[in-house]
Amino acid sequence: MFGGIFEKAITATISLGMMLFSSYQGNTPSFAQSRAFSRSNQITVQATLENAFNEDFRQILQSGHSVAIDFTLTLRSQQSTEIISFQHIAIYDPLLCTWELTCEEKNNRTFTIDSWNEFANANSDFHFQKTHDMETPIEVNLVASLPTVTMGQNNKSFDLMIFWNYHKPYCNVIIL
Amino acid sequence: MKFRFGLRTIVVLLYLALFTAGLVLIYEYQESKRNELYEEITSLNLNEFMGKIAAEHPEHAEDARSLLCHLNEIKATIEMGNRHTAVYSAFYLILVLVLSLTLFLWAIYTLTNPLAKFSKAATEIARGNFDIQLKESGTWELKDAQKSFNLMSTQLQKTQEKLLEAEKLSIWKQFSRMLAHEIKNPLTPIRLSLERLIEKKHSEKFEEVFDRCTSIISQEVENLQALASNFSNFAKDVPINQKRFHILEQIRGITRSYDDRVEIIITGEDFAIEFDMMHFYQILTNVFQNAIDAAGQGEKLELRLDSTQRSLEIRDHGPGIEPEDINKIFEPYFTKKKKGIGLGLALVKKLTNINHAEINVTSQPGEGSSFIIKFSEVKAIIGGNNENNDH
Repeated sequence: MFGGIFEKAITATISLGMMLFSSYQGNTPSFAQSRAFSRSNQITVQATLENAFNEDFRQILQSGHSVAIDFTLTLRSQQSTEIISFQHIAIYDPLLCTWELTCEEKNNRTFTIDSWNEFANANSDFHFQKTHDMETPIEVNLVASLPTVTMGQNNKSFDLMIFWNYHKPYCNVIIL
Repeated sequence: MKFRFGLRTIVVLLYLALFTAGLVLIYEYQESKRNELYEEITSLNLNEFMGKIAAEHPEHAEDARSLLCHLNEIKATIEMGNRHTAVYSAFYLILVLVLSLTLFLWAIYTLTNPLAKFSKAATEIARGNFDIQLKESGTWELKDAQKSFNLMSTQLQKTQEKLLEAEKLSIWKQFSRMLAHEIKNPLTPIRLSLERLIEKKHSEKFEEVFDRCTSIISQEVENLQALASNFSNFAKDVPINQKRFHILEQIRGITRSYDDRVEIIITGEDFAIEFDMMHFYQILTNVFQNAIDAAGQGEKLELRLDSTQRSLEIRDHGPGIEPEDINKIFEPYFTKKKKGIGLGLALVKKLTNINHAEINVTSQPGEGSSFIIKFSEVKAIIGGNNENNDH
């Protein structure tokens, strides 16, 4: 609990500081069009990240390093709780000017995209399907976050969450 | 505590505005310089150029890719560094702002809090409480001011004590002088009577002289007793035993004793009052006696009852009271009479006050004086236990 409060205090302080002193506002990511349903023992979770990748992010994603977005999906019924983690891994080819995006929740499907907008849309889209034996109601909770990456000759670590102002977007859906 | 927009608030707001503006300016300047540098570096676009090299020399394609990756990594590192600096600078600036504001508030509170204490202490002094001392704290200037204030309150207290002492002494002197005078007055005829008795010891008229002299001595001793009784009555705490009664009947009972000396005319409507009956008697007899003394025997005395105003006016047609004396007549030991110690009307005032009534006097020199007693409202009585002589 105290960890959560501390995190919120830090986020609030940073937001206040940015508002007061900086013209840089960062991104304000959130999940839109989130929905989850269960049909014939198959659960489907869909959500789209909004305001997650602006031009600032493009430079990072074009660095040639693989950059991942972490998704944590929690399925909670009265009997059990299941936590599944996925990543969207993106890598840029500067010579071909294309992005290669691998989405783990889509059975590790890999897309090659040559447009930034298309890449941003594909990277924002979360689509997960799974057979299950959980009894309804099921509470579906999805949280996205960014990892720490190491760059440069000095192997300097950067927390990518800074681009999201340390705010983790989440959505909560209950399947009845 | 109630918030008031004062000097302290103005200083804090001013500090906050100036400090924040300063921080914003410094930050903006640094950020603009960082962005200039960043734009210089990111404007390097070698993708197209390297693409051409890779197409023309496929054997160097991997090298070109590696070079571009390296360049992009450098750009990304600068971008990351830039953003980290922006965010963390803002975070630390907020911390600095909060910390400095806290320190500033503490400092300003330390400086201005003694002012509030000064204000409170000055209010106490204004109320007459000189026994107040400020605790010396804060900077040396404040300590000096507090020391001066404490010295002032000590001096004021001492002066007040001296004044009280002087006033007491003055009252005692006046009292002693008057008491001596009043005692001396009857002592002279007593001494003269005794001397006459001794002188006529062997005279044929001794019997006649004896009767006259003893009569004088007895009369003067009675006067001395009355004097002692007057002083005693004025000094002691008077017990109060209020009862409800109708004023007219009591007045008639009291005036009966004066019928042979003065003409008394009573007008107006009767009403009930709550008063100590003995006190009522003392008040009226003192005022009557005062009026008779002033106007002389055989004069007319008018008593007017006002049931609406709940007042009794006692009017004489004597010489009246001089304007400069009218405010002193209820003061103890003030008298213009040859015989008298000035306690009669002072006692009247005292008895009136303890019975929750008030007495005032109006006078026109040469035309007479009016004493007006205003009685308080009668309380509602449940069960009638307090009823007495109420018809």
